[in-house]
Amino acid sequence: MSKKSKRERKNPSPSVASPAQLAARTPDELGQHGLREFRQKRYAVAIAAWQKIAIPNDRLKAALAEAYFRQAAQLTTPTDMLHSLQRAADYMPADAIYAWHLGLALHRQGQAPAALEQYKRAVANGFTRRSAGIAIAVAALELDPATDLAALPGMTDEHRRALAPLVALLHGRVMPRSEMEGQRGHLDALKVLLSTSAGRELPNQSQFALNVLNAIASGDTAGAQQPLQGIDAKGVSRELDALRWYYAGVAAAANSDMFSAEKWWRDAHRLNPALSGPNVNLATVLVLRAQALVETGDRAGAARVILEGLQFAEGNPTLSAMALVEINRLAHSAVLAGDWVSARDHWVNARSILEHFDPKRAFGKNASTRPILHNLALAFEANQQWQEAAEAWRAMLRSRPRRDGVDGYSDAHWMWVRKQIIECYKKASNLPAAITMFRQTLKSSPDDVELRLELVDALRANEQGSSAATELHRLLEKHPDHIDALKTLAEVHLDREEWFMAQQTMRRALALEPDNPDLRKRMAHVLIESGIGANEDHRLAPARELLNEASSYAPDDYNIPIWLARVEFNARDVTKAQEYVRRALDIGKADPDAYLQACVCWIVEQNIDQARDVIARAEANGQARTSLFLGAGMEAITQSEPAEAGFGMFDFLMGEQTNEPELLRSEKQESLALLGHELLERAIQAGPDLEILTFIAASFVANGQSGGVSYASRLTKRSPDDQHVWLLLGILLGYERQVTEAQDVFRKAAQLARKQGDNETAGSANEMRRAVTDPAFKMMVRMTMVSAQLEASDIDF
Amino acid sequence: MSEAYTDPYATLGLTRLATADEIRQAYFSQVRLHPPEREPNEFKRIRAAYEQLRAPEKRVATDMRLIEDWPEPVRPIVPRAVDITIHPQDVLELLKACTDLATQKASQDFREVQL
Repeated sequence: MSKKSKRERKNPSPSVASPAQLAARTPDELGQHGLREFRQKRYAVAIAAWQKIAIPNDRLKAALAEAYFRQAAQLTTPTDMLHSLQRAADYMPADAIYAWHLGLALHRQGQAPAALEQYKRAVANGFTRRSAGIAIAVAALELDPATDLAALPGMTDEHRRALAPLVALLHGRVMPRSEMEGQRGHLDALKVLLSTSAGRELPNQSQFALNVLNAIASGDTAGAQQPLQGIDAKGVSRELDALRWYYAGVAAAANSDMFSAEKWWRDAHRLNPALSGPNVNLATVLVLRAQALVETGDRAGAARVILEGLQFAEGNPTLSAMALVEINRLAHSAVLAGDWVSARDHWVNARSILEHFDPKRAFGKNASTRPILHNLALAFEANQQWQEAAEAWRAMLRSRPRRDGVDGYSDAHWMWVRKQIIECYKKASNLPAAITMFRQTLKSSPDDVELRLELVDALRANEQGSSAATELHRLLEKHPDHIDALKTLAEVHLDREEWFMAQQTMRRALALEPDNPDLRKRMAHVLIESGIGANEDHRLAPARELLNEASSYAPDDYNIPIWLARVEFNARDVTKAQEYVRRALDIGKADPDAYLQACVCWIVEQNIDQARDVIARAEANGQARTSLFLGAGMEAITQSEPAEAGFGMFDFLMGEQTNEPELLRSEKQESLALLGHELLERAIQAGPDLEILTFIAASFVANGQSGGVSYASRLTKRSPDDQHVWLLLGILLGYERQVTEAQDVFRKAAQLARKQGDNETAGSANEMRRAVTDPAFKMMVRMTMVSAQLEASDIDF
Repeated sequence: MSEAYTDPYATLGLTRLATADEIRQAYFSQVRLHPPEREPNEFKRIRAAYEQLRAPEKRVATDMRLIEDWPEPVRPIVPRAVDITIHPQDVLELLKACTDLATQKASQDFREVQL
């Protein structure tokens, strides 16, 4: 046999017998086997052996009960311990000891009624320990503080006298000091009763608890201050010591010694943060201090004190109400000082407070979390925390009252919030994550209409129009009259150029609310878009019909006659077109854009006289703005370009890099070009010239048009140190095949960029310098722009 | 990060519930008080405020960019006095700490077994 370790010798491993081996043994063998195991303190093995004996006698039942009782003492899990004690009591139901210990275990677990039953059973079976009466009284008083102690088993006069001051306390009455003096020794008697139970001097914990009880039950709250301070807490639990310091604070407060009271309540809180007494009183002390600070004008100090108070009493109504008022004031001041960081921190605190406090309690039935969430979202945005801002806007959206308008917000305000959520997610580069999150949440709350609309917004922003439509159809199946869903679905159809579906959806919405001005406006928009689509497809009759119907919904929209004019131009009916243009100008005579649209109509038709007439009319009506000259001028330049054979991308991709064909302008196109440059000059004169020149040069580059060199040259004279304007000039020179000049300009742009540490632009300029020698330079630049546009948009596959 | 914050309603001396008419009237009266030829900067400020509120759509966006006030409490906040009563629950906890519940060990009641 191998040598056993010290530990093994002390705690030998059980001689485990298999169930088959145990079954093969005689009752006597099983009994002896169990006894050996019992003596080795292996109670589970002993129990298993004894339970194999088919017919247990009284001695065996007693042995099993004792094994369970001892096993309970070894166990640490309260449930297992209770189970073991219950088994002991089951085997020996008339045994007082097991019933008593089962009662204690139940009582420790907070099951006072069951504990009381077991205590009574113990006493009925002869449990005579004097302390039993105390435990029985505690359980009974826990269940009912007004319980009649005399009616309880195990109670003697001695018990009742000893407990009298404490029972008085439980009845909400402090025994007057004089009465206490007359009954001196009651708690001493309690001590004697308890010492007997412990069989020796009372443990520190009991002695401590008795001393605290003695002090607080003395009938003199203020007088308890000294005694409570002096109690020795050696070996005492933190929870019990916290009670002592709480009542020391109470005694100090009764003595108007608030300094000591606060200190001791803080001590009590440190020892047991869950004890409510110190927390409530600390919160009160801090409210009083904060109010004093507010009165002296120290609002920042007051807010600090309030927030400290809330650490002790989360959700405390007085503190929470004060905090919300003061925090919002501080945050507002911070915003006015431009300090959005502090403002954000304040509103984050306010939001935490609102997690535990219903503002309606202090601020009236219309109070809601909305203002704080709104302000917080703005603060997150100001700090460019887009994800957090999106979440705050979402939380605000969820605060929308069921009845519209009760909070002063209209549909338009809430619509703005929804758009802003998506804007913020976009800026956080997190639209796909937002979509995933919305979808996951919808799995658990499929009937959340607002959330589904948020998902639709996100899908649309992510250019997943088809998925957005699916979600909207899903929503409309359950809520066929949901106006927001119908409006959004119409928009989705419009995005996807599904004109007829868009019209049908809006007709459905209008049937529900025929006089809703927003719906009428949207219907007009859908019909205009549909009419434009039909005109582009040269389906002129339906185009007229759609645009005329649009006019019935939006008679003041000058764009409708403009589009009708375009339809008539397509139909070669210039007289009718002219009539529509005139009607557009009558409707939009106070809007500079109406003149621009009318002018563009004539420029597209290459009718320079009519275009000039429109400009003259704008001037006469005081509406000739820079935007009119700029827009009409660029359109005239565009229309003056001879038609190209095509983009030539295929040739370019196939390596057919040939010179672009020389295209000649017609006489009309020459006149249009002259008009264009004349209007652009007028735009530059109207100013601000630098911005206008930049816009013109960049437009020439973007449109791949020749003729912009003079504007870019003037720009380089105005901003000689700006590398970007040199780059524009180089490109425009390249467009006009002035290769050597373009190379010089690109070199200069690169030098300037390097000088300013702008390596990216320097690299682009050098690349351009090399590329400009290529005959297909213009096409290359335009292709770069097209691909940049493709990259900029997410395509919904 | 920090940007100048202005409230166009405050500039025009209005509340946020002002109607379109009230906005226009407030603008005109402010312009009369601060004509552009005499106070060009003040006029610029007033004009900018008016521009922010003139069109309904722009006004919605302006409203949403403004900090919202927190309401005043419906009743004055009155703190209660500190609690210096003795809580029955604490008495019971202390009492429990004295009894067999806290002190008694099962081992003192172990008994021998005989078969």
